[in-house]
Amino acid sequence: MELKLKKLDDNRYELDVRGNVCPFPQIFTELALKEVGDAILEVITDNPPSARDIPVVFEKKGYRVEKKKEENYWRLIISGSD
Amino acid sequence: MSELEEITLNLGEISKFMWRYSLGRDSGMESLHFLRIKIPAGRIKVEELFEIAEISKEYGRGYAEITDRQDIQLHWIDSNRALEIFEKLYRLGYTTDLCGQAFSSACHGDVRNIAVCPLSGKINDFDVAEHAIKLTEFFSGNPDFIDLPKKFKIAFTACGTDCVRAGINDLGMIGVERDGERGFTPLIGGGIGATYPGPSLGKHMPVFVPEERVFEFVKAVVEIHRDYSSRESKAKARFKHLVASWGVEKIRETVEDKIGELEDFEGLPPLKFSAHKSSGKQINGLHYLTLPLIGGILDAEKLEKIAELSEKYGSGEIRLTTTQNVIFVDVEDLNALKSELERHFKIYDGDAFYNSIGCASNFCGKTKDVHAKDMLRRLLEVAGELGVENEVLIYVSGCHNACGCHHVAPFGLAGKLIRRDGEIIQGYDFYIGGDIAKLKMGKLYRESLTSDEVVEVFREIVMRYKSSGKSLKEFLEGL
Ligand code: SF4
Repeated sequence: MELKLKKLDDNRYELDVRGNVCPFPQIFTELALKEVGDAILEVITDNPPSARDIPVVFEKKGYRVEKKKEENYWRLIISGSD
Repeated sequence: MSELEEITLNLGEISKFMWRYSLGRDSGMESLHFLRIKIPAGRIKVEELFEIAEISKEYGRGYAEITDRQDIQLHWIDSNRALEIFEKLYRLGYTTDLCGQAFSSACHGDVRNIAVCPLSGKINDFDVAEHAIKLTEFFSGNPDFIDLPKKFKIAFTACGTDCVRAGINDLGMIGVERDGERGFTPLIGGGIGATYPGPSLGKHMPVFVPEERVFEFVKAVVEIHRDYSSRESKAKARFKHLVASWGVEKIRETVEDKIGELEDFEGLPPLKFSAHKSSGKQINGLHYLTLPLIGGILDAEKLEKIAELSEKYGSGEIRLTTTQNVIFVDVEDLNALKSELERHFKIYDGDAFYNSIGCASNFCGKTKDVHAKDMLRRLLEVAGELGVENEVLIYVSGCHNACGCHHVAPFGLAGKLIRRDGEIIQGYDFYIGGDIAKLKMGKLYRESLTSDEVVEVFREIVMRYKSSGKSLKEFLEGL
């Protein structure tokens, strides 16, 4: 099984994990962050527990996470650890 | 898009956990996630029980509870460590609920743990567990069945009682015999949550499903739910809504279009509820013994003790019940087990302690103090004080989602927040007169009571009943 990370621009990728149940959006985010290095990662999830957890979990790990509600999903914009 | 604009993430080993495992959302007791481990047919070997006790200690603060669908549920699970836990469960051969109910749309419903008479094969030789186990293997992680409009609940019993609350499952399979042949006659469309069309009891589909056709029958019904239940909104997505709008006959025709004709079977056998309490003789001459647990609450040490005692006095197999208890099976020396159990557990006396259930509202976050299981404990104590512990049966839900099945008990409570003296506090609606085995819904007796008022009303009803000279059932009907 694989997931695609879409390149939005030179320094920004998008990971669409809609339809995945908790904790997989968080697990995939972890994997994606390893891949994108210093680039910004935008995670799209429609799973409310994941939208609640991902900001908390990755802020604890030193990332900045911005959470935006868009229609019926969330966009979590994760930028590099300090 | 060119390949350069995409990075492929290979999920490797993680793939094997997908659609077989998930964490549920908690919002109480400082727990963020629960893990609901499906125990197929509610049967667990002591080696596995020891392992689950270890998982509870390492990842769940040593706490565990038995659910009313025979799962073992842990809390305080750290999502960062989920993959470690999934790997342990994978090695044990266990999966979890998919917990897709948080999605805002009608999707990612799964087949929940299939409830089975906990004494099946022990007090009768019609063992229905093999059907549940085969179906569990088929549905778990099956890509064709992980995106149902909403969850789907199945139950099997053939002991002559309704020990699985068949009538509030989407599909309840009641064991029957027809001209010497064993099979089932189904109840369909039960479900007492608040979603459309409201709390509903299963309706009898008057067919005979012989044992060899059970698998194809159940699969066909779940496919009908998958393909025809509404995906318009979560509120309309349970199978009960489809059954209410189509009617039993159309569901039957659609099943028969898929698997061929089924023989008619009229009379649904009259059933009584049973929690398979206390102890009794099995058909093999050995005994079973039920350990009553209030609200199914256990901890890792107790799980280990149960496993040890099962090894020492029984066959090393434990059965979990839909009333959140534990049953030791194949016990030779019943008295020795009883006296050892008494040293480690509080053995409550009275049917109510075996029959009653309370949901996990403390963890789910829908109640403030007094939580559902605490409310249950208080009422059971009062029942004991008033000497009616062998007569009452109490189901407590923390909210109108009805996980505690409050509609179908003689005494049922559903939590809700109420305003008193300008403050928002925990309250309960009080239902009376439900009877799951008779497919009878309780009625709302008093609304928006404080926990103290619940106790007062319960006392008052019991006192009036005791001087009425009627059976409890008659008395509650007249109220
Ligand atoms: S009935 Fe309500 S409070 Fe109890 S577990 Fe279900 S959702 Fe939570």
